[in-house]
Amino acid sequence: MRISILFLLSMITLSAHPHSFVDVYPAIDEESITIRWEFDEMSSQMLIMDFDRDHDGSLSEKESGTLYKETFAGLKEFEYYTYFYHDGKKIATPESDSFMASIEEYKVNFYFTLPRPEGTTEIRFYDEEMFTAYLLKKAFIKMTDKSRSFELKKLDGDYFFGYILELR
Amino acid sequence: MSEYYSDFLRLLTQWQYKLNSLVSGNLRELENDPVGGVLTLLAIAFAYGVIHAAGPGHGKALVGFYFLKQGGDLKKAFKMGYMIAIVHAISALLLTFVVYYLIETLFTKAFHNIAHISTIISAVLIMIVGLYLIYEAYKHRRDRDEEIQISGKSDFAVAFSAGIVPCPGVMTITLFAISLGHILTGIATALVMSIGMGLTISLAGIIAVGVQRRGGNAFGKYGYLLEFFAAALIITLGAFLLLSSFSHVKGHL
Repeated sequence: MRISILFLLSMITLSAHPHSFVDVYPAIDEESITIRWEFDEMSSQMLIMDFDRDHDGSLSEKESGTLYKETFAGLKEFEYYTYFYHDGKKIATPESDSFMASIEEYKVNFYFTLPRPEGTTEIRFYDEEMFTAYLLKKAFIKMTDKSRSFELKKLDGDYFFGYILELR
Repeated sequence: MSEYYSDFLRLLTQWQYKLNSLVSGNLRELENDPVGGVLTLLAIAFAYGVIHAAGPGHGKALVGFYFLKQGGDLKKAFKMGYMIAIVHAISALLLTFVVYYLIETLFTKAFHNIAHISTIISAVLIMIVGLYLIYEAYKHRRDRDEEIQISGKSDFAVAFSAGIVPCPGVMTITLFAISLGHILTGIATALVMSIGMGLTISLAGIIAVGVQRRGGNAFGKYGYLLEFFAAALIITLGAFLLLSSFSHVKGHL
């Protein structure tokens, strides 16, 4: 019964289904949070075809720069799908101050750093529209801020899912 | 409920991620074991299609509302599911080939623009289908004592308007296969994935047929009310789809 209700719900929801999958590896220190996005092989291949112009299997500084301009820079508007909270209240996501892209084992990786807003108690990861599925596991998280510990929780939206990284 | 639903989405997504990497891994290893490799690939693509279409979209709502209005049987529901899947697959295959061989632009951008434009076309077509069904329901009400012959025309219109949005999942797989030089395998994979999706879309039709039978009987001679209701839902669906396509135009990867 439950399955059929869920199926019916999925019939009437219009939001997109993910066709890109990204593993999110956050590293948290006192001042900032550095994130690595690892794209699935198919999305990676598309990015490689678009931006590895000399087909040498790696992204030069120039290629990485073009990739930044064409893809990542536009994600500021979407707060890089990374949302900061202080005691349940949302804080604006600061602009990323570094970006680098690389190809490792057929997979494209984005590395970027966000300043950690003061008083952050939670960082949430999701794409509300589920165009891209951002996936997080406890083992992906690195905590170098020794004054804090963390807990990873599920985030249940109405038509999407995400993750909450709680800082303690 | 939202907790169950997002758990359901989470599970669907994890399965899809797994199947997606199995497809890419198998395509990459194809040289080592061509026959076994292709067979494994097709089996995975079928499962991927079934699960992929269980997520939001793919015309399931339209099919559901359509059968809610029109009624039908198992055969019609399967036929509809497969018509949508075929249109879905052909539009994805055609556009992928066009983008790969003919258009000099970034794939990431082209895919996004295609999704945007085809969604608008689909939304408008869905609204037109809805209006036509209102007209049919009106005729049905007027002539309710006579037997109405329902033409197959609206079946095609429904399949076309829902299927015309190419499935990005199919496009991504096809592009990946072509880029590795496996053109025929790519086409076969896309077709088998669409067969899998057809099965799931048909299921939406079958559920609606069941609801319509019970509902239609309960309404008795006022069955046309259910028809108006379902046709109105289809128009609303098209309108929402149109609105959503304008709300976020750029920025996604």
